[in-house]
Amino acid sequence: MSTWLLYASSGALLVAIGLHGLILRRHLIRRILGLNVLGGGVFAIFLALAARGDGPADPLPHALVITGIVVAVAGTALALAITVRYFEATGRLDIDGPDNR
Amino acid sequence: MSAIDQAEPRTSPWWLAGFGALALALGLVLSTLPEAAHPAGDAVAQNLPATDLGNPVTGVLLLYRVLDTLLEKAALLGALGGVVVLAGRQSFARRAVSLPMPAHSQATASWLAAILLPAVLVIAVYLVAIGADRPGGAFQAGTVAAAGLIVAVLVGLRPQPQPAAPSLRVAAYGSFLGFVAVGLVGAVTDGAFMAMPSLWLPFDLGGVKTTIILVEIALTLGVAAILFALAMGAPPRLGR
Repeated sequence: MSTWLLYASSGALLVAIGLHGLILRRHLIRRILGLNVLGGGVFAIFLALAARGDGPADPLPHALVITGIVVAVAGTALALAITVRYFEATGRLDIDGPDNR
Repeated sequence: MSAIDQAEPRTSPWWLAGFGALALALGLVLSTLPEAAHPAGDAVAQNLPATDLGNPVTGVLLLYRVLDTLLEKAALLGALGGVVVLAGRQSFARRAVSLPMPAHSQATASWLAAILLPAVLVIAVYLVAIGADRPGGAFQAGTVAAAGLIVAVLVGLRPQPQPAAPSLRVAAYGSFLGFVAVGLVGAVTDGAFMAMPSLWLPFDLGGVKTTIILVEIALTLGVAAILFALAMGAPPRLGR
């Protein structure tokens, strides 16, 4: 088993964990965390694929991932700000309707 | 129980099995991928010597995929705009980002941050200075600088700015507009929008590499200001 596959599999595991948080958790901040874990898994898979084969790693995925990380941080900040305003407006931190309570 | 620390329902074994199967399937698909071919990466490797850059990632970010980098800056500014609007100037004044802690802890943390902040800023300068030749660059440097500034505010070493403070706005929008301006100059001198200008007439200042280093310095300031401002707009004392 090659090294890159170990990293890619770890990324796949992170994707599954992140999706779990994103889909099944009710707390909005837990969902945002799940989305970040999911993104981290995608970045890990992408970088692992760039390292396949002989010679130096492909620089293109590296450039796109560093771009993606910064955008993910900014998106998380915006999501948290929206969460704060939602809490101020409703006093709640989940988006389940009254029927689901 | 308040909304902040509400309990979560227990995940059913079926869901867990489903996510486990998903991870396994993803890993299997990845393991069956055909042998690596990096046509775009090879093209970068072939053309990199002409730019005198040692770091291929910087070459991709500022030459071959420079439009991606420009749009990423635009996305950062969009997120900042959203946070500034949501934070709201009225309600922002009563929110303190600094961590609540006893006075003696505050003194120690502030003393430690006063030692660490200059070191962190030096590391950021180092990261952008080597970015053209070795791993490093504008985003890494900007992130490190922003993290140092955030810690300084958290422990009360520095006063807390508003996310829309004029200095932060000048750095955030100035670096973006400067980036576009360089791209417009490139449209004239090198014939394509966002081509990094390689001409420094009447001076000989090192061609495209000099342009890229200057752009990286501007981008570092912008990234640091935007990430710092984003953190200042998100109050951690939710619901107190």
